[in-house]
Amino acid sequence: MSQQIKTLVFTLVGFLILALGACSQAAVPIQTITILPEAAPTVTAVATAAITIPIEVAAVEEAPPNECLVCHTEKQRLIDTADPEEETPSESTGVG
Amino acid sequence: MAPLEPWEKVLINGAVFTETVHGHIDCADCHQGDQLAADKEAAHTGLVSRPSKDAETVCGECHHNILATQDSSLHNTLAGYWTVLETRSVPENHATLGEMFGNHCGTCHTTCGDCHVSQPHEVGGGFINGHVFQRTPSMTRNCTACHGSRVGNEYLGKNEGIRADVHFRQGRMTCVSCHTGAQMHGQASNCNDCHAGPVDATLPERRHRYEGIQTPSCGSCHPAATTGQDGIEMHAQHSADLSCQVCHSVTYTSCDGCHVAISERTGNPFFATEATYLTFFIGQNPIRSLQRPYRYVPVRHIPIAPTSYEFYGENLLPNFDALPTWAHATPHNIQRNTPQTESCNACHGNAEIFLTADKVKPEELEANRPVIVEIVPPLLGVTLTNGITVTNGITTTGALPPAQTTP
Repeated sequence: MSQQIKTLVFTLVGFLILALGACSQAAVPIQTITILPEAAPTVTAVATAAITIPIEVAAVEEAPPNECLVCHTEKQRLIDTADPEEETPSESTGVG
Repeated sequence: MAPLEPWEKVLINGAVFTETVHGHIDCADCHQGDQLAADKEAAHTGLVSRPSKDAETVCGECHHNILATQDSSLHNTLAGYWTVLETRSVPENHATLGEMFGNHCGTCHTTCGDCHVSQPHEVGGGFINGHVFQRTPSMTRNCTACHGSRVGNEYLGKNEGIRADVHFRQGRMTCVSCHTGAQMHGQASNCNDCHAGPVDATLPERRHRYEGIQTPSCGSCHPAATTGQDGIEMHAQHSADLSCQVCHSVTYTSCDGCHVAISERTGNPFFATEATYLTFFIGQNPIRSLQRPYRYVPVRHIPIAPTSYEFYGENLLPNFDALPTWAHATPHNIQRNTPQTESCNACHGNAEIFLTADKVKPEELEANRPVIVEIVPPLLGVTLTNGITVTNGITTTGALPPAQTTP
């Protein structure tokens, strides 16, 4: 007899848990709908923060100009700064 | 090629160069140095004047497809020299010959920049066109700057009394008209690198320029002539057993022994060739192959002697006789009409134009046995006995029309 009571109690507790579970699932969509409008300012805040990113990019050093060209495109400057070439006449004879 | 003034060698054409693709690259990316330094000395500290010596790193960053095959380019490897040196020497001499090679032969090693930016370093260097990269090298300032004494002089008609090559004289063709960039840059090591194929087709490494398929080939432009299908009797008879140059080239340059040494006075390497002279001799083809089946080819004396490298050690070429000193040649002075094309008997029975033993130095006879012509092809169109005529090497009976007996 006591065994039957135990079975009955367990069955009732099981139904109770299932019923409570069903009630809590039904509440989720309501909570989501409530949260969504609050989430919008958060997105805005993120977007605002993104504005700082270009500042970081701008902070990267630009490639230096090809300063070599300043001298190497000026004939007279190259003439003036040229090292004297050492005359080392070739000792080779005949056709190579 | 006229030498350039020091300033001229390094003057950049700023207006043009900066508009090109390479002009948008920071100078220091390739040349290093310190371009923000206050003076020339400091700016040039650590400068790499010829960055393409490290082509893999510098040029290969963008041109990886070209760099992928450079290990098979003879311009890069100079493998032909080593093939000859190794054949004529023995392994224990290779280290000494390597030192010689580095001091002399190796200076001809070509970098990307030696063809596409500057005149070759070996002949003085200097920008071709204000550092503007040239997709096509200049014939006279790049190609013949190195290949000048034989190929250049022949092709451009600089040997006195000998006309320029017909491809230049009439066609105004330049070196790259035949020797394309793909050939210059080497070949893929496997056919399947470019062509989809069911089987592995690894190509053997080229050890010299006459190995493997003919690139370039006269037949690429003259297929009917090289297969004897153009109605010309000589082509029909000889397209398989004579290289085109046997009939269509004229007198070309030969050289005798080159000797190399290091100057005691300056410490610089130098060479001296014993003699240079013009010849035309037909010899036997010492390297007959599927791609070059010719029985006869023109041969020229190359600048080698048993004592060529004796500055570096004695008897460095103990197997000197393993290769001829009269080498298979492809003279670059092609003419439509030559003394050989005048008649069959311009060659047949004419010992003058064949490399016979009497034209070879006694000490070089053994080395040249593979190329010496022992029996000169007989005269044609000669009636031996009544009714028996020799024509094109075939003895026939019965009278032949004059046009066929001596075409």
